[in-house]
Amino acid sequence: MGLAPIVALEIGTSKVVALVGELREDNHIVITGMGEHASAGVRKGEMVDFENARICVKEALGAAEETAQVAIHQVHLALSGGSIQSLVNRGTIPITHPEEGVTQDDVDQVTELARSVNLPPDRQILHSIGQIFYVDGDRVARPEHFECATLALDMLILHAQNSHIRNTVRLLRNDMNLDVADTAFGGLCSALAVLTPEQKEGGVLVIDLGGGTTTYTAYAAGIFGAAGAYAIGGDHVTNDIALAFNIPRSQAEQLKRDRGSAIAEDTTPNQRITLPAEVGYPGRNVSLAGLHTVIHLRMTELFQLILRDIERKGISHQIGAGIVLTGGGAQMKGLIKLAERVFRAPCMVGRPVGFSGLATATERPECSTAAGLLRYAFKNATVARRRRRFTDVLRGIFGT
Amino acid sequence: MRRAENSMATSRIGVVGVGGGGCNAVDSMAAHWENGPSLIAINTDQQALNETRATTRLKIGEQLTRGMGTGGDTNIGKLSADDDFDTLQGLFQGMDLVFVVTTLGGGTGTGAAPVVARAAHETGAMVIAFATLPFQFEGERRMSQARQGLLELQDHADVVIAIPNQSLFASAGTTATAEEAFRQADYFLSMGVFAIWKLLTQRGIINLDFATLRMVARCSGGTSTFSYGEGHGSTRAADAVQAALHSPLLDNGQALAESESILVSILGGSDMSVREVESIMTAIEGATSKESHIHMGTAIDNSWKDTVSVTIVASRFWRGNEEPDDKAFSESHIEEGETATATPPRRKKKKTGATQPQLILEGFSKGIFKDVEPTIVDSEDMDVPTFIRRHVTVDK
Repeated sequence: MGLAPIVALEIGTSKVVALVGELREDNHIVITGMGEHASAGVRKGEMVDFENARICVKEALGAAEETAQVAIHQVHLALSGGSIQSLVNRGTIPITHPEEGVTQDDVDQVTELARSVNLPPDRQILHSIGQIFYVDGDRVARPEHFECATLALDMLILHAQNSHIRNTVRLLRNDMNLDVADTAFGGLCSALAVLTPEQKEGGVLVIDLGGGTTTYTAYAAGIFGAAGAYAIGGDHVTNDIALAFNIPRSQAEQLKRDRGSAIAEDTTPNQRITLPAEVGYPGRNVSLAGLHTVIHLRMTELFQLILRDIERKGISHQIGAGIVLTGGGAQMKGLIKLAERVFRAPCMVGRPVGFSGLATATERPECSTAAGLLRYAFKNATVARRRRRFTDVLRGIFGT
Repeated sequence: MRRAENSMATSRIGVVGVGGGGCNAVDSMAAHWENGPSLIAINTDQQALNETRATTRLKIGEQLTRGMGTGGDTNIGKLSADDDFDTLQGLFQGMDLVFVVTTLGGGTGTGAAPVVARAAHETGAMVIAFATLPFQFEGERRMSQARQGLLELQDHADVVIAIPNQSLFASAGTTATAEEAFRQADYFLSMGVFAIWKLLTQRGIINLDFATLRMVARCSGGTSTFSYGEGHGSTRAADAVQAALHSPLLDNGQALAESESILVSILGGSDMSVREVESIMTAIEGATSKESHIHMGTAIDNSWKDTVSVTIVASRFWRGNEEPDDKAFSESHIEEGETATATPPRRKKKKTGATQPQLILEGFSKGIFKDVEPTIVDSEDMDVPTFIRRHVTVDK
């Protein structure tokens, strides 16, 4: 295909993932390199300790370079901080030459208008994604050549706090000499990695459960409908457990992974789990039902927040293909059942689809974001090659 | 007629306002009360102190701040109080009960109030802290400072009553200005102190004495919440109790249903009838769980007319009667020096809280998230475990 390999970097709260991918026929992506390192210096998806974060990124990129046998100078960056929110902005223009039908110039004009929103000074646009055109109020996917009096476009604007983006990009550019080719919303990337076109058409909600943040992305009738993020993640579950039973964080994390469940009632009453002694903490045992209650309450609350968001945006009843859970947190026992209850829709765990190569990267829900970022980047690269077309306004805008 | 008793009580109960907000609250008490307890204003800001009507004024941290305030730095607030620790102790000498009133979030209130509470506690007084938490519009930094301050206050006070200002704001309506909101917060603070003080110093239909209050303080776990309601005219009793029960401070009554320890103070004029007290108590019992420990008292203030007020202090946990030394207390003991002997067990209880159900109220148990920017959704701090915010008891 002639496209150079692309490097996707996700600096998450619990781990840093770097993937190197090459594009093959039929938009299939082969992952040729991978590096992963436990994260330090990142809380809730945002960097708090630059020096530690730098070391982790360096390790992950180093491992990716080694497996892929390439030298990395440029990366695409996934962003998943809790500050990310979405809104829909409609731009409308009159068509002054009805006999000609809608022209490319009209489309350009309405796109520009729909994209211009006033955001508070501390926020910047991460993506502006065209949803649907309206010609005299009727929904159409491609408005060219329609005869009409007005043309409108709904644009989904994803915006984030700019300090977070700037800090991360500055670290990569200045301290690590890396070129940041583009940035993309992690939730969008996850959706691109795990969804099939059929799911998007049927309406689907993808929830990516990360260590520090949870992102969601909803498609309704093939259109990118809503997206958002909450700075609530697996770390919160661990912290809840640690506080509930007064145990160290490491034990709480272990307990969550080994015995955790998001559904409380399947537990045999009075069953207890013995925890070994640790430095400074005596050995003890805790109630399994109690553990499940703590997790259940937290995850129910998180799902309800997301449900409320998509209800407000009017798409909660349009997710016929159901819920797809991905990210490291998706592996929690009982979570599928819980999501089905809260959203009253079928639910499954999503793993990257349409990828091959390193099995560790293609089979785990933790790698969805980075894998999806590769797809996003290749999509843009191909689009750029074919010359930009306005029905493909899917693109990240990054202004420093 | 009850003059002697009254003057005795006032000399042994002190109300201390710490920091700008605390001093304002004390100031509004000074304006409304006659023959009230001794009012003390403590601040780092000389100018603010000059304006207060408190009977005693104490400027702390002269060397550090030169009387200019802390500029919002809680550490300076704390160090200022540390510098004048001996003076503080002298101030509380001989007191049985000290109310520490503060608005958390600023430098002096947040930093110095825990030290003031410790000074009072170490001289042998029982310490009840009333602390407001900042309004949302005051910003996240003040909120996180406030949470830290509240935790420290819990280490040194017997009872900590937290009043989230944001909830007050909700009740004030959308048109309320910031100044009105602050004034209402001051009013609630002063009424809370007033209600408990009255309960101890004035006779009523049902008495609640110092020993009972001390027992409630010892057995109630964690941070307490508080609400206040007032009624006038023929439906005054029903109005007052409904206002208190449905206060946003009690999550519209939700918090009350889940509290195990409840203290009720009913205040009225000499025209208050037994039937009214009874109807108030029936309403409160209906709104609480059957297992909860309810202690109530009434007080008559002859200067009140046609007005009834209901004050509720609700604590999430009841730890049971630990040592039976409550029997040692009776009203007459207020005068005696029993406070010294009561101090050690009280302190011990505070430190061995690990196996006890602990502090409950939004925003205090944050674990690893205590130093990072909090995740606030609809003014709820999502970093606090859900089970704590929802008041769910978890099998341990």
